[in-house]
Amino acid sequence: MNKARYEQLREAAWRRPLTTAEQAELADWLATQPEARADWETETALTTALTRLPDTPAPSNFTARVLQAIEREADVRETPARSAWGSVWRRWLPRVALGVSAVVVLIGVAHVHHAAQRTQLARSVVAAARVAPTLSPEALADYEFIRRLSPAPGADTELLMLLQ
Amino acid sequence: MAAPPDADAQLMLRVKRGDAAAFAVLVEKYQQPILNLVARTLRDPVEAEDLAQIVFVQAWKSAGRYQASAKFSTWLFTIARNLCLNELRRRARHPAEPLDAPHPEHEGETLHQPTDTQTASPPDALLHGELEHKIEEALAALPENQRTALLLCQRDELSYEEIARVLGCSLSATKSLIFRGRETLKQKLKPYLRSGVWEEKP
Repeated sequence: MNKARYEQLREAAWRRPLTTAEQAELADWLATQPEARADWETETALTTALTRLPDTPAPSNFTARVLQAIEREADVRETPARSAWGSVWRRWLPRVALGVSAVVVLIGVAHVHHAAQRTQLARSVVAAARVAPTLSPEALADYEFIRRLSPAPGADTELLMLLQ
Repeated sequence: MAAPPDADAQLMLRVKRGDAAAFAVLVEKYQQPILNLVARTLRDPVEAEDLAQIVFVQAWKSAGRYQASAKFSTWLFTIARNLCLNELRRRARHPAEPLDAPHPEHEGETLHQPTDTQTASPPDALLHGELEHKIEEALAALPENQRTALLLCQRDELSYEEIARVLGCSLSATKSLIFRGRETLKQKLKPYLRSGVWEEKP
């Protein structure tokens, strides 16, 4: 037996009791290895100590509590659609209401503005009609007559002279 | 955990169909090992009970995703470990001062509990109690992955392959975690382990 085999047996002893053959093999080797013997004793004591550690006390109603918790989960799951819609509705309702209100206000403002523009235009037409008497179509057919109606402003010769 | 793994898988197939009675059998069988692991990870028996309950509720909810090819205990211990890690992370983010924490000025002093002189225990029982306490302390001081590997190996008798699956690491890394964990415990507990109290009784 060598060190590698010792390691192998040590690893096996973590999981299970060694067989009689393994124990004999180990005892022969440990008789010649005092250091390994001390290590082996600590190893076995630790394995025993870990195995014998007491269990954490479990409540007698543990299973009943788990099943009760599962039932509660099932109750919550039975109405997922309704609760999901409810949560979506609760979350989005204020936003939708705000959006609709904004659109309604915008439409109202646009309508009032449009009506005001039309009224202003109508007033302008009435005013213009009062100031400028209506010309007959025959008169408007004469080019010379039209030219005389709105003479183009002449050049400001005095200003041009000053600039030069 | 004496029943063969296929028995658990059979029960889980029934659980997948919504059979609560089959699930109750699995809860009865695994509550103690799960509670042990969770309690030794969280070091708070009340929180451990709550979290162990959550482990089983989570297992019930995830039953649809359970593959019969996987061993049920491995799957369940993986859920338990993940929930423990979540809880440890939550504690790290929101640390709370325990009520029985030592005052900073008196840190390091031994807390002297009043002794019950009426019902004195036999000396070996006292020694056992002290050793258990020392081992629990030493286990708690180990890194989480070493402690979990060690407990699954020694207490819950999972194979190295199964432990590797729970921890999400290789087989050699798992063996290395167990070895390092044991070496640390041996160093810390050497005087106690050599006292002879833990030797196998015939």
